[in-house]
Amino acid sequence: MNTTCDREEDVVEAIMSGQWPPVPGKNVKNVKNVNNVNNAALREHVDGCPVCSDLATVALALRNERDLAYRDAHLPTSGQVWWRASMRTRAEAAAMAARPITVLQGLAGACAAGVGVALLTLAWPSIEGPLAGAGDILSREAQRLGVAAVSAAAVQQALLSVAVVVGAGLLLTPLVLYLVLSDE
Amino acid sequence: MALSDIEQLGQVADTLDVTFQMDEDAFRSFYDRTARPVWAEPSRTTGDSRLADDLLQEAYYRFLRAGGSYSDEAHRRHYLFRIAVNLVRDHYRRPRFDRLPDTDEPHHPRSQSGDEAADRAAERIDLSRAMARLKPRERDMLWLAYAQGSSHEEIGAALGLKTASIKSLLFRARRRLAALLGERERP
Repeated sequence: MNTTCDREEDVVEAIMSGQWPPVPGKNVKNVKNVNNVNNAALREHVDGCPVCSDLATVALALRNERDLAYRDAHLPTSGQVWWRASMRTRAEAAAMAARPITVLQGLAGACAAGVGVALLTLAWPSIEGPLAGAGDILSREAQRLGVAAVSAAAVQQALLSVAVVVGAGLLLTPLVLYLVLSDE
Repeated sequence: MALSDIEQLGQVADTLDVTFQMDEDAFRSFYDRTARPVWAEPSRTTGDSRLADDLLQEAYYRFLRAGGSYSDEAHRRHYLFRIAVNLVRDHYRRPRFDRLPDTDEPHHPRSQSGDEAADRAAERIDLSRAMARLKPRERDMLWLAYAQGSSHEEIGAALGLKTASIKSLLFRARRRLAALLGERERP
């Protein structure tokens, strides 16, 4: 099967230069070869050549589609595109510059949490005694006043919960303040 | 680290020189020569001019940041078109060619008669549907060759194909599209 034709270039030239389909009585000016291609002859050739016929069908349809797309185009200006590209580049540069700080802040937060847990673990024996004592006192006092039968263990549990909440507050307050006051 | 340090870093970034491969004047000139073809293909493919705007912006951004060295203007254009083609492929793995053109828009000159306008609209729909049945590479090749008038070398550079293979690939794609358009024409 023949896949090429010598006249393909003439057909493409005619279509690309907007001279196809040819007007009767006019010649198709071949831009590349400067020669005029006989209009009727080219038309006759395209009608009889399957390669050029397909070429003319496809190229003309796509050329028309392109003309319509170009006509409907409402492009942003070059200034807009340049400005957006510049802004994006700066934003990415800023993010890149801030990345080590973010990593350091994360590490600092993790270290602070670790130190807090370690301190609590170390201090636990000295906290446990007073807590138990305070629980006993409060329990006895409650029984003396006849408020309710409260066990020392329950009071101790409540005091422990309060201590945990206060500790967590001390750790988290700076972080919350930072997030609230930060611009980002 | 204190808050003021972060703010200072942000200000430093604002004052950084934007390092693009060309200055603004050169870019404006290049953009004016290339923007329509870069915009037209995604616009036609997606039927969405806003998406086409986004892809256009992204293509020029990547092009500016690429920092490549080009032997001449044609090489520079090929590189840009290659970025644009890849962007369309990446974002629309399955291009929505089946989306019909917006026939409410006045795509035709006012001087055209109603019949002519209807014929042109029908042709666009036929083309859109026929293109939908081609492979993405075939669509890209045909568009570059016959809508943008690119040479085989330019098509090869834009699509990352060997120039020697373009002729036969183009022939097959053309024959398929012509057959599909022919089917549509027959009642």
